[in-house]
Amino acid sequence: MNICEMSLLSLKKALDSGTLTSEAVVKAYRDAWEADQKSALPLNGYIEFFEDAIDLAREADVLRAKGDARPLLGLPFAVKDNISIKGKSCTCGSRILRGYTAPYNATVAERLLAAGAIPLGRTNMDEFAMGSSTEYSSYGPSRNPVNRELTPGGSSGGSAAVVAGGQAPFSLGTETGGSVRLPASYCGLYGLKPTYGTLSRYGVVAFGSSLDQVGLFSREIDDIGLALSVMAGKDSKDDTSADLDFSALANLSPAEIKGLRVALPEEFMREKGLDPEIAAIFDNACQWFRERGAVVETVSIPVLEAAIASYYVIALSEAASNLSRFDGIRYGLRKDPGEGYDELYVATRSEGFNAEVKRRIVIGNYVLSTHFSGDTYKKGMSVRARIQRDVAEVFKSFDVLLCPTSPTVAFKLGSKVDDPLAMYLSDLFTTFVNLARIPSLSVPMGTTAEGLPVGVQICGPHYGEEKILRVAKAWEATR
Amino acid sequence: MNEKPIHTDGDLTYEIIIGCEIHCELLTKTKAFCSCENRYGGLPNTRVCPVCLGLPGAMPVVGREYVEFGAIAGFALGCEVSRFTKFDRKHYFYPDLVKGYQITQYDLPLCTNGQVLINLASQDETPRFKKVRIERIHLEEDVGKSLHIEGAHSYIDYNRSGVPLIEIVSKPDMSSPEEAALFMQTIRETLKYIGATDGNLEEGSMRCDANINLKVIENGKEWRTPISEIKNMNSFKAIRDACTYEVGRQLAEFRTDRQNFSQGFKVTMGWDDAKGETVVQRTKNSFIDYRFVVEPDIKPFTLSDSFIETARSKVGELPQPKRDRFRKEYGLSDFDVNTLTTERSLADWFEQAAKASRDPKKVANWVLAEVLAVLNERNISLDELKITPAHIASLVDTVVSGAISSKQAKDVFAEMLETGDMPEAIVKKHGMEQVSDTSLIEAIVAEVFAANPAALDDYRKGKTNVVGWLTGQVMKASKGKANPGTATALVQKRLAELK
Repeated sequence: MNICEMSLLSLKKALDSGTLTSEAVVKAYRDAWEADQKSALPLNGYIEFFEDAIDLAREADVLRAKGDARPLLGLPFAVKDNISIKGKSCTCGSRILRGYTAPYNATVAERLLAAGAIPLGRTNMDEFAMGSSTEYSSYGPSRNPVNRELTPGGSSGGSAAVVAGGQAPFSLGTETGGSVRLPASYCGLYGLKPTYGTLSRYGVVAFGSSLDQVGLFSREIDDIGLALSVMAGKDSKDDTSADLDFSALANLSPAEIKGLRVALPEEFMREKGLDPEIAAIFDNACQWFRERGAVVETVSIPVLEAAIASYYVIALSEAASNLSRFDGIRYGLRKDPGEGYDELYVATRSEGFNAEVKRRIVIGNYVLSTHFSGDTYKKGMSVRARIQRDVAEVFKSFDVLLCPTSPTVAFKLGSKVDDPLAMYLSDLFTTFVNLARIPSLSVPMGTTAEGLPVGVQICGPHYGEEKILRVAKAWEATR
Repeated sequence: MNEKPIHTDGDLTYEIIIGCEIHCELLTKTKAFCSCENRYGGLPNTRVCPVCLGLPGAMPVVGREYVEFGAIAGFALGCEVSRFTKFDRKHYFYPDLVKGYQITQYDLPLCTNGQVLINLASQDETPRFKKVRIERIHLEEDVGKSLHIEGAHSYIDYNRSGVPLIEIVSKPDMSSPEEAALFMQTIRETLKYIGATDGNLEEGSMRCDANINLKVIENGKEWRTPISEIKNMNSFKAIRDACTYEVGRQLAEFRTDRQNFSQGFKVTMGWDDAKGETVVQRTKNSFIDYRFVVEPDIKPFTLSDSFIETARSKVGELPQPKRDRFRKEYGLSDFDVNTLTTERSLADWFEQAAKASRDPKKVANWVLAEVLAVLNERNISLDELKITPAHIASLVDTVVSGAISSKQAKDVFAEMLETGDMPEAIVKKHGMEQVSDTSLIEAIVAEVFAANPAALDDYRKGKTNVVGWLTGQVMKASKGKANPGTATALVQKRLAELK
């Protein structure tokens, strides 16, 4: 039994039955991380592996012996570097937050800790979650465990790499426009972006607040259900969080595929950038549904053509706003030429942010500036409202919506890093989900001839997490 | 009602145009978007949390009391309160601003279209009102406070960061510095009265920005001078002085450059109280781009009917209508009603006593003369007194009924202040009931006359002032209980018999 290949649920069973200790589990992951650090091309998934993880594991073992039966007691997880854990650094992969220690827990972390889970470490990311390859991290890029010359995707690339690379059983990432699903697809994992509001954003450093949502990576579908069951629900500290009971997700049964109504948006199928091999794997997925008696139909949602434009207008406007707080006054990096406030801000932000983040701040502020807010920002908002409406309309007639996660497989490190527009197009199929605020799960559906993973998204209606996880569970059973 | 005073200066005639923006801190228990305590002062940076410090990941949650106070203030200032409202972000950089933006309301303010009446008459004159329209009232969070030490560091206290504010924006309806000051006074009085703010100007609970310019007519041609915005004035005197100074400065500037104002541009100024002049903070033609964005962390919300109605009902009677009513119902003078209505607690206290008594006018005299004197001497508030409105009502009634004299009432008042006993109990305890029984008093008069033959001689010789002296003796002999009126009458009667 190789601990590092076990799912969260099988680890839980092993801890429950006493065949494994939490200490042994955490030690196995730490050993795997340490060994990988010494390899020729380390994954660089962790920015920091927490020193106290082993101690927490020993404590968990003692508590378990005393009869503590919390659902995630002694089970480890990795967490993206933009989610606050009290007493730990939280830097968003950026120089500007070097030295900042979070004085409080993000609610998602708080709930995992309360359930007994152990944070292993914080994972690498594109600076402030801006990027699709984790190459925009100030800690250097992460690598794809499937092929280390390739990107694991981004911005939650570190969180995907540690799970796919056997250094954590599951991890938390965040999404604004596909940052969990894209790396999940590139690394052959399940990656869920829950409905906006399912998970509290309190303590999660904001990028585009109206689009952001914490997401999860795992190798098996049950693990996502288990973790969601303890994390979801109303948080009095987040006005946008939803009041839901997801406890049933701890025990997922496969969905009945016969009679399931599946929608395929034709706008994405016509997309010129779609890799033919991915198109073929996607066809197989549709075939899998048809063979089992699902009703699979093409639908047209014309406004999706404008999704990526609307996405960038809104995401960058909110990003420019959210990143204003990093000014060098209260925490993090400070560069002070001693000439006054304006000079302090300029020096700190010039040095603290990378080129991509600065580009997005400038675009966001340009869009919001008095001369343009009248049309560009409002237009972006009205297109978004249309997307929300038209996508919701589809779910009146269909159970799930199916589409590829990414137009391409994982690309080579360095191939798009200097071409921001090419990088932005990685999010072609994912951003509409964030705009529509629906849940979407990227499911590993197959591999290309080269052996590279390809994911397919199963999207559901608002708070339809259980539905899409159960559909994925049915697929997983036939894998 | 709203005719504009025209001024002249040499060959120029001009009108003054002033609009005010008043920031007012609300007396909620918690800050606007977190559960930190909302209180002034204290050790710097002790009342802060991730939310009011704007730490990475922190999110605002709107306090219910905050919105309620905003709505109550809106109703008190004659506004319409919007059912549907939302928050926005206004961006600028300053060290006391923790997030690089302030949460505020941009295009959907909580309250709109209000008005207040400012009284242009002086206190003892019959009121002379002018209407000032209020464009909007919106909710906004306060920022931290900077302390600059010359030649050393700057320090920032974030205790104030996130304190709930309302910003009241008037129409440019004021036509003199005096009116601008009166407007702020009226707003302060009203908001203090409804308990929305403590109105403490020294502590910065209320600050006023004045936008001022002139409409100048020269040789039949009309000009508008560029607008100055004078920021953060926290006294009525500062508003008067700064606006007066600005009128002079703008006139002088107009004479040299004849510039017309252009939309959206203004000079931002501060008022230097020591030098008595305005100081330019941001130059003319500077344009601040706040880059408003919808606050995505707070869902737009709809206020329920019951929420709106509760807020409306909490406004209660405002000072001006109360003054009119007191004048009419209790027959009080302008001066008396003005004093009695300076604070709602005092007005309510008075009214409870007035309603319980047979003589509200006497009650007013007691409250104004005796009760207020005690409050001032001891520097305490009404609820720290041992006596209640019922005590004063009962004391006044005891005097009116003739049971005790006014002079005795002073002693009773002093005692009930100390013990909290009701006047009846005190009167009984000391046997102070006034004696009005004529035969009893006649007997005492007879004793006094018998004991003071010299005084009677004096009277016979024409010294009429012995009446008072003899009455005094009668009062003394009765230990003060004799009804002074009866005693005087009997003394006079008996003296008349002497002749």
